Amino acid sequence: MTGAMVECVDLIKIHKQGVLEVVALHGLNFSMEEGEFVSVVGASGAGKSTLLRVLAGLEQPSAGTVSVDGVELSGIDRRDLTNYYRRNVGFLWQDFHRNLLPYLNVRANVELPMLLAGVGARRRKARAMALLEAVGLRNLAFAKVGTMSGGEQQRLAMCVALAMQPKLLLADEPTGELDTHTSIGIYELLREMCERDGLTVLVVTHDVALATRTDRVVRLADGRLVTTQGGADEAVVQVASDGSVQFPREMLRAAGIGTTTRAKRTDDGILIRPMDSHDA
Amino acid sequence: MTHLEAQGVRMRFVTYGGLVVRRVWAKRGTLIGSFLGSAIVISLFVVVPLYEDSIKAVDLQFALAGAGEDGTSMVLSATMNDFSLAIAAENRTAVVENGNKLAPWYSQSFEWLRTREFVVIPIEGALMTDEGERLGWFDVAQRWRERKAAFVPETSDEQFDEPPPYPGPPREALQYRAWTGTDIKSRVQLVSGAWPQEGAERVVDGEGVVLQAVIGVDLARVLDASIGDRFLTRPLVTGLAGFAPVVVAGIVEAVDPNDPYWGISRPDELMFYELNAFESWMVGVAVDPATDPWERDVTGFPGVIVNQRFRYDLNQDNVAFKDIPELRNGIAQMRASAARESGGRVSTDSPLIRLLDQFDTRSVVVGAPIQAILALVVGGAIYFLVYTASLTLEREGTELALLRSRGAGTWQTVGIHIAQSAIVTGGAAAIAPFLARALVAVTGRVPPMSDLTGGGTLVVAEAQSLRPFLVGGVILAFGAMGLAIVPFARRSVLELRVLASRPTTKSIWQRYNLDLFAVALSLVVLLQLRQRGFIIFEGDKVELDPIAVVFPVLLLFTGALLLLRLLPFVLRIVGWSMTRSGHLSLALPGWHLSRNPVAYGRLALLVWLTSGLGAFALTYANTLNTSFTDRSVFESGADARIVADHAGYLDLGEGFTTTPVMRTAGGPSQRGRLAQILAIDPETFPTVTGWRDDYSPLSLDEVFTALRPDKEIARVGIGLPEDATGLRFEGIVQPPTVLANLDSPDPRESAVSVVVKVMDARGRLWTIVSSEELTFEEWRSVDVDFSTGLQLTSGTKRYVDPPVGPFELHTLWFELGSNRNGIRSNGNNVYIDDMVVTTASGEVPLDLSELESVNGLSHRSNIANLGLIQDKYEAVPPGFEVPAVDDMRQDPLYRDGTSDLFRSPRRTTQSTLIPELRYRVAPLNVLVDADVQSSTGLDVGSSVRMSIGLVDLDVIMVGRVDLMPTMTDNRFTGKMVFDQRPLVATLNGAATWSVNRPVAAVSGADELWIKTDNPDAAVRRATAELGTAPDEIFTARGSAADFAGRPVQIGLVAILFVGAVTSVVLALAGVVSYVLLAVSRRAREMGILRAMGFPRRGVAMTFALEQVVVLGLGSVIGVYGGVQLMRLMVPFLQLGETAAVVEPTVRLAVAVPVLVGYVAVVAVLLVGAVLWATRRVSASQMSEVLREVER
Repeated sequence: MTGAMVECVDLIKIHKQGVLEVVALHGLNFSMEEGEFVSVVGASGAGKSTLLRVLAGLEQPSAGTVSVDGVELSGIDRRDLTNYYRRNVGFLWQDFHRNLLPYLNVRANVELPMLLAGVGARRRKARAMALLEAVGLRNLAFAKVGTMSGGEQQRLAMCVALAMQPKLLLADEPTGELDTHTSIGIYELLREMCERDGLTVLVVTHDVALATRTDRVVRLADGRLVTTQGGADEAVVQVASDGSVQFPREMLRAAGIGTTTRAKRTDDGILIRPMDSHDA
Repeated sequence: MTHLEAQGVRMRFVTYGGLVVRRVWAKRGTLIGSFLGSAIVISLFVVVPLYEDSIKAVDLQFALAGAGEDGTSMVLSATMNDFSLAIAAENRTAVVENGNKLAPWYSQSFEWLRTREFVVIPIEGALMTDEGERLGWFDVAQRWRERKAAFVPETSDEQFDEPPPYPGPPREALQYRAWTGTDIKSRVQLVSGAWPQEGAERVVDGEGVVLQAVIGVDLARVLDASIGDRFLTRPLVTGLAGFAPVVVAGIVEAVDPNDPYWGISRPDELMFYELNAFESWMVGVAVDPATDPWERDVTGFPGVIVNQRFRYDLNQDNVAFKDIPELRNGIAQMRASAARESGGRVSTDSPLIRLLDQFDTRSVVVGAPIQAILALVVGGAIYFLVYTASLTLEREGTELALLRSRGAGTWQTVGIHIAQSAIVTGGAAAIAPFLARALVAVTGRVPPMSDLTGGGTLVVAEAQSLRPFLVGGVILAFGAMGLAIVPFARRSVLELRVLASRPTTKSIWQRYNLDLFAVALSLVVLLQLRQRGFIIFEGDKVELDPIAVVFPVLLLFTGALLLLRLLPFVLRIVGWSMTRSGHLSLALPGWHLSRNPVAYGRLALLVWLTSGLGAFALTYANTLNTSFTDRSVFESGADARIVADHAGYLDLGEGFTTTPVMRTAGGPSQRGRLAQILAIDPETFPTVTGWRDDYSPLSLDEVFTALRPDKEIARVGIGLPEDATGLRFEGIVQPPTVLANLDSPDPRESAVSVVVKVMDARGRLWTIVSSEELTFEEWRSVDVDFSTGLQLTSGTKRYVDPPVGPFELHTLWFELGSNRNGIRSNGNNVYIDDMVVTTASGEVPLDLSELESVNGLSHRSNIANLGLIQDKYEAVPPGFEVPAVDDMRQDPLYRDGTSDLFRSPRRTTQSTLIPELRYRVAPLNVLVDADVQSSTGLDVGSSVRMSIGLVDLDVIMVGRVDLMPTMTDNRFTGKMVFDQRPLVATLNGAATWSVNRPVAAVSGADELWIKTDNPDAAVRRATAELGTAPDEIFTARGSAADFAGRPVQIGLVAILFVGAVTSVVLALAGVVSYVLLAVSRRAREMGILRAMGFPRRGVAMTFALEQVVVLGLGSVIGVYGGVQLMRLMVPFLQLGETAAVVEPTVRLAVAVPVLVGYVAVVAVLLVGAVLWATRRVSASQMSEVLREVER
């Protein structure tokens, strides 16, 4: 953690729908440190995607300030915005079809942002292969996009988004169309990049279980920040219909809980402890 | 920039190129539409010059072929009165050297030299002396020389001043010309004698220097000359001493009298010389005065005007259309150079230049619609291009958003798209010239162009550079496709994503109301054009107003923009009403239509353009065709028209409906302006003529019925019984007085014939003379036999059928016998008793009281026959006792009772009018046009006095007729139409002396108009009846062939059909593109519906219904728009080949059944294309459908 990568102060975003004005973000104050992996959860219409689009520079805030890696996004001009897309931010759409050009092969898709940014061919190739190696797609470098599975396409999309080594990766429900196993794989990959490359990642998701795999879960409601839960100290977990509960691994590790745990009902709820701990 | 940086830039370009190529390849399915559109747009641009040139080339070939050799040859001539071979050689050099520059188009066919007219003067018996002796010219000259020799100046104060007796031409001198040429001996062949030996063209004998000449056989015949005969010859225009004796050395005849070499000269009436002999005589020959009978020192014809002529014939096969400017320049240069180098003697006459000028005028006037229509087609193709480009862009919205979100700048986005457009346009540009040539060539197979090309392809001519048109087309196609990206490239990522799912609803045109501005602009231009016309006339030059060419495109463009605004409303309403239906297959398309009407509106617009162009093409072709038919019928008047003396009265028999027509000219008295006049038979004319309802405010029946109110035939004379065969009467000429009788007057001197003019049932006026003359010797019974009418005719101006009753007696007069000095009656009194009409059933009394006395012929009835005898005794010699009345009754010439007495006035030198009795015809009914109406101030019911020929007559206007078939002679001002019968009677009913013209020759109907399905048979029948070929023959079919033979106009029709077919292809491509896009967009929706049990057929039906609504709407509006556009184009067609307004004017002619058929075919094609395009979702298996839903 070396400083605020993302800083939103009193961020307001109003959508106009005909004569109606809908306040999507309602004076949001939010920040992210460099290398942080944050997930945003909330009900539909809470403002998650709007926040992501504002941070991506796709939409201009109606009021307040937003800065990403020192780039002030309020009132940014077209040229700076293009540079912002090229250098500062990577974006993952939920629909992985929309992240890739179908007529380019895998490596060419990864090289595309670098080509647009004017990166030399040798560097493009090296970077592309390194990224594909990192996501386990190296052997598919010359494959057609259409022949790949959804998980592979989304991993490839991540490579494309990260091709220019942005400081910030924004992902709008990147695993929304993927199965749980593949989704966990994607999240682990993101986690790995955060840890290894210092990448800052903001993920919008509806999947609370996946959200707990991030450093921090931010909950939005009606365009406002409701709660922020730290990854190892506090978490919101989901109770399955069969009564099983899954906790964040960090939290379990920090609590010294291994493969089994001791649970005890208290007046406040249920307390779980390591098997070898004593009752308080 | 370092080497590495430069390499990097190059690599980037290569990579960009690769990206673009991959992109193009990946989108090849959708880009095919753009490619097709671009190729067609560029091709059509190239087609403009190619087609124009090719059609003009065909037109040129037809014009050249039609003009024949004389119409295309070039004649250079020099007229000299100082002729010498040296000058002739100078002229030849000037001509030939410059002529060589025009090879291979022109080759010299011949050169000849010809003099002005000479006269032949007989040598023998030329002069008669006082002693009655006839002397020849040599004798006269010899006597003059003798007198001169005998004259001794010393014996007289005077000099011998008697001029030499130069032979002068006799009054009836025979004229001929002298002729020579470089190859004269091969042009004529000897019949007798021989050409003079070289160097012996002149012989010297006692008659001085005599020229040996070769003369044509006809000249020899009229001179009655044979070999060795002599005569004098003299040019008409030289000095008095310019004459020479000639001896006939040979007689020749032309090898080919019809050879163009002879021009209008008749070779067998010429006198021929060899070139050297020609020179020596035309320059003049020095002679010893002592040997010349007239003591001249020069003989021959110095100063005679000699014409040297060179003819160059055009090798038409070698004239390509592209050569025309060079050929034109070459001729101009030849004209100037030959004149300059010959010292101004040689002038050039080139009918080809006039032909080319007419060709240019025609090209501009008739070619104008071609350009306008091609502009229209190009406009339509551009719309198609923009349409497919916008479809492609809409489809690319997601990709553009992705590129933008990956950091693509505006110019990078633009660059990629423009590069893609460049590839498509480049490919299109590469094939466009070939496609254009193929399009032009294939028009040769399109009827009626195939009639001209013989069913083969049109030979593509390329006179002007295609490059500017190719570049123009490429720029336009590239602009329409490539520049469409610019507004998209500036949009944000989210906007692009929204665009991909929800296309824009308002175009830039509507956003800024530019469409309304375009409408206003079109209206202003339309008003301007209506005021100033489509063609600009500047002096002799005719130019096409460029605005006029662009106007249809502007209109098309404006209409398209307006429809883009209106169609969504209409479609929304239609869609909404469809959703009211309970049937899903109907409601679904309704929802789509009402939800996204803009896209459907664009599609409807494409169909509008297609059906509009097709409807326009068909209406154009039909209008043009109808106009040709109208014009040809207007020019010929009927299916066939025969012009010959009195041809109007021919009876062609069964199978032909005919009407006689008389053509003349006349006008209001004292005005000096002449109008054309047609005199027709109001009863039969409407059944024969080709008529259009705009020729008169009245209908065809009404307008001509007005000439004969209540269908009553105007009376032109005393009506005779139906079976009348003639007149019979007894009569006598007043005998001379007793005093005059002392001189024993010859009874033949005062004998008179009775002459009548009767009109027969067919409107023919017959002049018939009594069978015998009346004399003063006896009462004589005389017949006027109507059946003798034919015998009295003479010359070619005659009727071919005998008179047909019933008759009307129009005129009666008396004429002295033809064997006296003058035939005019002169104070003759004629008694006529018992004038009756002879009929098959007996005799019927004739009352002449309806006839009026004209020019002094008095007519009194019931005059006692005794007066005849009493008048005999009016002058008696002195001492002669006049008998008593009773004794007078004993006179052999006396008869009881009374007679009609006709007394003609005494002849005077001033009066040449013929005393006659004549039926006064009532004022004539006339139909007039606006010109005559304004010049006379006539109104229906009012009357005015007119002069037709030398006859003044009163006319009453009974109606308006603005156009009459065949009345196209622009030398006249205005048109008038009369009932023929009273007009003929009025114009020709006056008495005429038989010496003035053939008795029966009256001006009548010289035209026969025929309604028939077989004009050729009618012409053959008429020719047989006439006994000779008619002067002129017109047939509607022949006239139509003349008009339709203009390749430019035929080409117009051909290109229209090509345009219509092209537009259908474009529409098919556009509809398929749209439906494919819609199918891919709605695959999910359709998949869900299929999964829910919606039948396969229902899916296809949904799409089909949607498209049927859109296509139906587009077609209906399109057909209407096409027809309306044609209405605006009609003014383009009003100018004929000579830039004059055609008559009758071109009218819009909508071929409704053809249009319906066309729309049906287009609809079937389009709906078929829709069903084909929906096959993916409508025909796929359920498993595929479910996969579609998952996706």
